Amino acid sequence: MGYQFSIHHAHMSSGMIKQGRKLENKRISRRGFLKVLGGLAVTAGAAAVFWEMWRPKGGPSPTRTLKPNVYTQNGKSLVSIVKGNSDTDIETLVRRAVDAIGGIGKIVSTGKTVVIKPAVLTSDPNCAPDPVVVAAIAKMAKEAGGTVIVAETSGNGDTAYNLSKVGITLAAQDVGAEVRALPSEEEILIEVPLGTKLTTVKTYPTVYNCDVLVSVPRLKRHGSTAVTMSLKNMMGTVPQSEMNRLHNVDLSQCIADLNTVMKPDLTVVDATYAMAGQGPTGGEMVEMDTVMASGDPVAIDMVAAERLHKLEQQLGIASFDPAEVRHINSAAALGVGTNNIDDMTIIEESIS
Amino acid sequence: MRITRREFFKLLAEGAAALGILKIASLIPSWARMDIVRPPGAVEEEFFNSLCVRCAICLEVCPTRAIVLADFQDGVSAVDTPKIDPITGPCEFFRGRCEEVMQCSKFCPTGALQLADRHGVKMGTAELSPDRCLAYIGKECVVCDEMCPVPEAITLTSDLKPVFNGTKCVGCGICVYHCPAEPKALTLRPEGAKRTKWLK
Repeated sequence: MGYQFSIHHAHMSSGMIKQGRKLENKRISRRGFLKVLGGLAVTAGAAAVFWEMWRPKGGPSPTRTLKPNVYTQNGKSLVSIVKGNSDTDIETLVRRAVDAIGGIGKIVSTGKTVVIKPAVLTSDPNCAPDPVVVAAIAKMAKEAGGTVIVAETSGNGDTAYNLSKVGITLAAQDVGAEVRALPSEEEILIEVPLGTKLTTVKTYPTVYNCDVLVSVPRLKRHGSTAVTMSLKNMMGTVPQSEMNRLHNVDLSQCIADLNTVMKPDLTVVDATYAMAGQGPTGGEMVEMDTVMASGDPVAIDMVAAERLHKLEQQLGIASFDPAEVRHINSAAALGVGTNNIDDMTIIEESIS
Repeated sequence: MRITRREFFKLLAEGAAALGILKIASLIPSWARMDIVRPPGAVEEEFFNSLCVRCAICLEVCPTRAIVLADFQDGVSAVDTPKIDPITGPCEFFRGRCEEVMQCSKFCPTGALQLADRHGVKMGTAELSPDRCLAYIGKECVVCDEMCPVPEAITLTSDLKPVFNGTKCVGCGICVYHCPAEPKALTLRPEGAKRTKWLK
């Protein structure tokens, strides 16, 4: 339809078109040519758009088994609780807490990629762990020979802005760590083989493909899940669209399911100041001068939840039942860790 | 495609008539709706449409893409003026990238949007529809309370259902944007908006 043959060829003498008769016959007009060109361009454009929309974006990767906890003693999960006072250097607290369970050298060696995942919900510094805690862990991992990346997806607002606003960007870069806002990366779809409600989930390659994952939450209360610490922190490894979906499905169970594929090798809970009463924003900041560490995210969440519960009782704030925190219990049932105090060895230290 | 002199004048007359109708329509109060959620530094609605030159610079500079252009549904006189759509983006004037300087107001060339102290601004009020809210239909969700930048604008009942306090709410739409319910259980309404005074 786009071709318009010249009507002039019939009047031309055969001698004039000796060499190019066939070509002459198929001559198309300028208009016809441009039409065809335009049509091709539109088709190519549409095809490119559809390909971009429907092409498979990295299908589910091979199944992943639960990583074992390396910080154990006689088969029991080690949890350290180091308490100082208001004058204690926070870096010292972090170092003592990690060294008490066996040191960062157990998981980090030369050439390993270490991703530190702070819990930065908003640009409010009270919501995020202390930048000094993040920097201290980054420093320790670097000393052990690792390449350190601080990565996060904020639930609220722009991740890069939030990270710099709470001071983590500067603190981490000072000690030579890279800071990555995950939403700028391309999402990948992964399978959750052990998941009960969650079968697949989108995440980012930085957190999924790293050698060592370190979870760094602050000890906080949470409106719907009672507490938000290491297990809930892993919600920040998925895109915001997935966070929304998880709330629609079943939040507590999804947190537990997610932790079967995103299990941190080490968790350091910043309880220098804890958020009591309500959370994850707007709660009362209570000074505890404590840093906890463990290789078992369930165990440390359980211990920390009990400490927070005790603290709230002392302050006379309406509290929660640590034994009834659904995501901790579900994660324990899935084998992410243990929520049974008898299966933990709690190391308490006090620095004065 | 030649047109005759007669056709030309006919088109001209039609154009003039259309413009006239639009102008008259914009003068009819019920056609010029006064209930649009405007960007945070907006002046009072009765002056807004006259001051705004529809340059859409505010839309370009908004870091969260919370600003969209109003269409005929928002009143004939408001077409192409900026309005806030919390579904496309949350306004971060109270907490976030614009908490120090509102970008839309900073770049507005005419003063339709004026730089204002964020504590004196109320863009509107978020409203909850309990029939769609995940917490009210038995799921664990307090995302609105987690995200809300204003203390006590959203409180939780003892069984963890959000309750909205319209007087504390600043109408930023962050809760609406993040509401995971489908369709969203929250809407941003212009009720109770506090605007910048243009005529002091």
